[in-house]
Amino acid sequence: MKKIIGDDEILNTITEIITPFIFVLGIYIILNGHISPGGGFSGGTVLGAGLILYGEAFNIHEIRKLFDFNIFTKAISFSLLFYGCAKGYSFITGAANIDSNIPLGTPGKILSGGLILPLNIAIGIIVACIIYGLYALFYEGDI
Amino acid sequence: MNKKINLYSVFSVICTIGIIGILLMTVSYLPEFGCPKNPSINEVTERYIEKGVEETGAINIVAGMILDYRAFDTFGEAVMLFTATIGVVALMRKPKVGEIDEKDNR
Amino acid sequence: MKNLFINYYETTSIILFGIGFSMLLLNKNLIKKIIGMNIMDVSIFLFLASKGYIIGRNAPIIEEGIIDANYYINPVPSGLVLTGIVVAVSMTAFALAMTQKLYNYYGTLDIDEIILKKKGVEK
Repeated sequence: MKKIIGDDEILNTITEIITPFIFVLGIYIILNGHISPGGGFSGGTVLGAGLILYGEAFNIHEIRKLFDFNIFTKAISFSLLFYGCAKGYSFITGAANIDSNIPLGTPGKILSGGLILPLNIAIGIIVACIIYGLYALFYEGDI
Repeated sequence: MNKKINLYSVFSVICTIGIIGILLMTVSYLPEFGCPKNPSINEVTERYIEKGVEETGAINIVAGMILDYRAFDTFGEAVMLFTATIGVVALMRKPKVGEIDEKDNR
Repeated sequence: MKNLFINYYETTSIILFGIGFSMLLLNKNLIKKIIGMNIMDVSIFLFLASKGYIIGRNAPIIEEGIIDANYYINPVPSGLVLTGIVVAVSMTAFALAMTQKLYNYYGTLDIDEIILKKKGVEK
């Protein structure tokens, strides 16, 4: 059951101004997950909330040009497989006492901490896609 | 208001008060809030704080804990989110107007 | 008995658990039952997060080179709360999807009427 959407001027104007900043904030929280409080889960939620705001102010068909059902399934499946393979490699080399060549770096820079940064990005993509996907399923029936 | 006082609602209130009473009696035996000599601070906490930076390389100790020492739990969480979403997709997806659903063709 | 007023976070968590549990038992509307289950989840998060605090210490982000186990709080319960939040979100989403399908099929959200209609359909 779709509600009748009239053009709301305040909502449209504010959404046009503020949506890029929400996306930049979400990416910043994900990338600095090992230096400051944050990480994959909270950054992914901020990204998903930004997508929901844009889909609520303008028509949901405009997001569907960029974010289909195919892209949704491929993004989530690829991120989960990447997480499993990366952590599986770490388990196997750790249990068999083989030296795994993952550089640790100096603590305090962004490119440090071994596998923590790619895993944070994978979790962020999964959570953002799922939160937007649940909103679209309850609103219209199709992502 | 049209609420009937029958046997079910009286019994459920008594059951709730019974469970909450037993839990409150257990809470009154807990150690003090915020005391540094609690038994929940043992050698596991010391190991995570003292060797967290040199073994994982993360300054945020909680992020290093959930993504390096206990990364298998986070993997299980991601699988659980994925399974719930697949369940919602299976229940609530209607194909768009114009697409033929596959079962109608047989 | 006096200990209940010193540990007031744990006492509040148990009272919230009781409120959520009685909402789950005493209401007939399906949406209110789901809200009751959410209140029970939130009370457990409060209980878990208050088990890690130590008075006078700082958050577990390492500052300028102070690596000392007596300067930071316990980081382990924070990881448990993160897992719990994800479980609560998944359960609520799935329960709401099933409620929507029940409403489309039976036309009502009252669980007594749904059971009566189901018995009437089978006869």
